[in-house]
Amino acid sequence: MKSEIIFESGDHKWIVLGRDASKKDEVIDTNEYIIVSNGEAMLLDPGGIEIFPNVLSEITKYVSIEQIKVIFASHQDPDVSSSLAMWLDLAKHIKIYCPWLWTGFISHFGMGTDFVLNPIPDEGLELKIGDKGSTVFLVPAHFCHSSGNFSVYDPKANILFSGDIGAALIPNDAPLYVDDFASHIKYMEKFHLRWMPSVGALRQWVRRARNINPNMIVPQHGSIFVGENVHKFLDWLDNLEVGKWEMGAEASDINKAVWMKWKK
Amino acid sequence: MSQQLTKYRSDISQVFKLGVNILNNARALKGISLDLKLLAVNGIVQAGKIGSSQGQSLITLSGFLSDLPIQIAPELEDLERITTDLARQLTASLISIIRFIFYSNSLSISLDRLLIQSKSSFRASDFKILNIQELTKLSKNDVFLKAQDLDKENIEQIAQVNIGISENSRLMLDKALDLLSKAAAKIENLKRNGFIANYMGSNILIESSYLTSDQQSFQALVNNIRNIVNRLDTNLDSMINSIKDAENILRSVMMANQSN
Repeated sequence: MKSEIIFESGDHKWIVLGRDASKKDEVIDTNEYIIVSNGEAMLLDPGGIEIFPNVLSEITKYVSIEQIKVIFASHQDPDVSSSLAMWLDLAKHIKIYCPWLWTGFISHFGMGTDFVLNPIPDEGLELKIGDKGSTVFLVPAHFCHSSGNFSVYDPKANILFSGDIGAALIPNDAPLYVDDFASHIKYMEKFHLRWMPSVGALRQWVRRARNINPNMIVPQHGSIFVGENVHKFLDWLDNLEVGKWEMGAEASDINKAVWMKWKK
Repeated sequence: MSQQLTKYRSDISQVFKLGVNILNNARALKGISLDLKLLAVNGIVQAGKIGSSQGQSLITLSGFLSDLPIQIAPELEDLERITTDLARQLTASLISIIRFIFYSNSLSISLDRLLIQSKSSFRASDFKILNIQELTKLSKNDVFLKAQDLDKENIEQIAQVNIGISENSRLMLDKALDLLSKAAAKIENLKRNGFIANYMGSNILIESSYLTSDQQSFQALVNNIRNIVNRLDTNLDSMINSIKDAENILRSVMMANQSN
């Protein structure tokens, strides 16, 4: 697993972890992010149980486990939240935040531990990292893709963590930062057309992101958008017609013979 | 995942499978018991048709036989309860041990990274990271003298968590071992009942040999009783074998955690 500091200013930094070459091929690659602020850390979308040993080992290069105060899960998917119980079991002081909509579902990943989840209300939340760290904002991103979904904005670094928005299924040797946006589209397009269910929700999120005007958008899968590519990415999203399943309707129609067989 | 962790994980999964096997066999015993009862009732009906003093002795023997499933019912209930508890206990232990394995794997990756950085000839596989004693002194090992405080602190923390999980798992596995020996005792009782059923069958055969007619019907009845007792024995033997295997694996798993 690789890791790299993507932002550093004084006592505030962002670290990305990902491109795990040792994971099994069938396990989708994910990016995990840590914000370290004034010696206290927040982990964003900590990843699935399958990659937990590598993520933990890689994180310990940068922070002590005791320094991790907050974990944020943008939504309920297993590649985001199936390791949460392992983190909580490791350090019981960690506060885990996840969309209120999913607390009952994510609790199924409890693995027999004392599993307490802090629900994020639909309108979002202002969240301090530990006692001494800076404040970040949990920005609504509902239906992008999950029905209860949040992004994280860190005003100090001017970075927007977008979760699955901007996700790309890239080869393992792809650059950490998007260099040529036009050629990067092919890694994102199918993902967004299939995973994003609502064009309205996506447009709203883009409006929110434009108002925030971040310098960097960091997704949970794929490469990072910086500077001009942030605007290109938002423009691309604004013109993307997602949530149109009719193109798959023919393929998903149940053949009459099959249907009759099922009915028997 | 290192070889020792892979083996540890596969051993625990094996015990889990054995636990489920024992539970399924225990549940299947109820079916066997019912079959035995139906046969005995059939024997009473046939003996009743004879209507002589010989018929009366066969009715008595078949009556004993039909009581047998009733007598062993509480034993079967107990066995099912014990094996259900066992499967539940093994599931809880398995989940706990899976957590232990994930932390151990992380520890192993971190140790290898530090050892490579410090150009040490040792590797994580040279440490018994499944062992509580080894975990207790791990961060103070001479090999890590030059490691940064951050690394030592993190190793210490993961090691401490694993010591806690390991101690908790030991309690759960101890309880599982206790349930295994309780199940084994119940199975021995049931085997005795199988022996009694066979004995009754032999007596029925002897009594029926004096009959001028209906002898063949009783021969078939006794054959069926023997078949059922064989099924019972096969089932119980399979459970005993599973219990022995599970006990052996659990002891070796606990040894890996505890031995010096």
